[in-house]
Amino acid sequence: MNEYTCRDVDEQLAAYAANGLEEAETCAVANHLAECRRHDGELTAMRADFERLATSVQPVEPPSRLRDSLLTAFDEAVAAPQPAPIRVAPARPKSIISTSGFAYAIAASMLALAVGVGAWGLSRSDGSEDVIVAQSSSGDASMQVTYVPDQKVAVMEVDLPPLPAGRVYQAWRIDGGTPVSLGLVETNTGSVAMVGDLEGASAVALSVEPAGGSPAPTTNPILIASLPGS
Amino acid sequence: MNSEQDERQLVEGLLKDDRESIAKAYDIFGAMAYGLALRLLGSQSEAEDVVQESFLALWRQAERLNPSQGLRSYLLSIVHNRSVDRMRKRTRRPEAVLDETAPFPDPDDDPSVQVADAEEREEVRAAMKVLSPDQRQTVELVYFKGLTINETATQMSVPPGTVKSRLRLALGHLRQELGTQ
Repeated sequence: MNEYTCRDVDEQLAAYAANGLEEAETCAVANHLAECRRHDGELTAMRADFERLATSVQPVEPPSRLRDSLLTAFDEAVAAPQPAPIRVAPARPKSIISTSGFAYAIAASMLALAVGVGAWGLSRSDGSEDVIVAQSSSGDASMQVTYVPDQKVAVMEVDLPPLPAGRVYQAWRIDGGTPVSLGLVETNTGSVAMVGDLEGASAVALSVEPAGGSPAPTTNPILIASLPGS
Repeated sequence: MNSEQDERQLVEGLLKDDRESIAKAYDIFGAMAYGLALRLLGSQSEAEDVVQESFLALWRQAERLNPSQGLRSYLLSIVHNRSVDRMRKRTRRPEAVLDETAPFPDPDDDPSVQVADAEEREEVRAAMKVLSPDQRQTVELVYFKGLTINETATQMSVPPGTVKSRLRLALGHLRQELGTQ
């Protein structure tokens, strides 16, 4: 992908703010914006301009069933179990490991334990606590992230709607507002293990990207799981 | 609603998973959100889906809301993003159920609309009149019909760079007219 200069981004910014760019262009602008704060003010102003355009549209009274449907969905979402994220114990000295069956097995078993016991504090037999769990759901999409700091392994348990051909789910570590790819989530339902350091990250996000993934998100995240301590 | 204090209370209610708060938010902003979704999608069923998803998203993202910037703006931004996502996923755009030749219908059609909102709409519509026909059409196609720059360029038979330039100039004129610069 070509790298954009500030001048390139200035030319594209209005279209970017209007969601009007193609995916590759959106990605290139997002990459530049992630590293260059010079455009922040103008981007904010342009977004405000478009929001004012939105307010110019004539309100239309929705069907009465929509209010009932919304409140029913809200009640269901509130009633659904939503365990708070936990931070259990600081990690011991870390060493990056490769994706291995062992690491996956450890993380997956901890995930199974977390779900199985329905408790959100986990302890090892030696008394140390060593797992971070965070969840997020929206509509018919949900994910749970179980992170094992010792191993720098995150297991994502997902339940996601199918995507059209040519699109994939991609996970991101969010650190200071900058997304860094954790990898593709190549299943709609089930578990995926990823190697990555989440220390210092504020959240894990999931977005829909073109096949093969993107170096930076090209769409708004559909799920954001805040990590404890952030 | 329109004081920051009111919005702050609403956000606090959303943070507490308070049913009355999301109901109140819907009662205040539902018609505006539905109007925008319907305008963009041209489909009642899809507009209903987007509005429901957007209010639930507003609740889930309550921690990130800043009452001083306005819940309405935040909500409408969610509605626009989700509507455009749906439009792009379509293999074929359905026929609109609304008269899309009239981008800004007469607010007098709905006597229940709050005066302040109606005045703001009028200001924006008046500002739109200072745009050249090409700039107006560009805003219409990109923002209200969810076309990409390339699609808009094809439709207007101009290079993509011209579309980007027109969009940028249109925003500049609008900002100047609305005194937000």
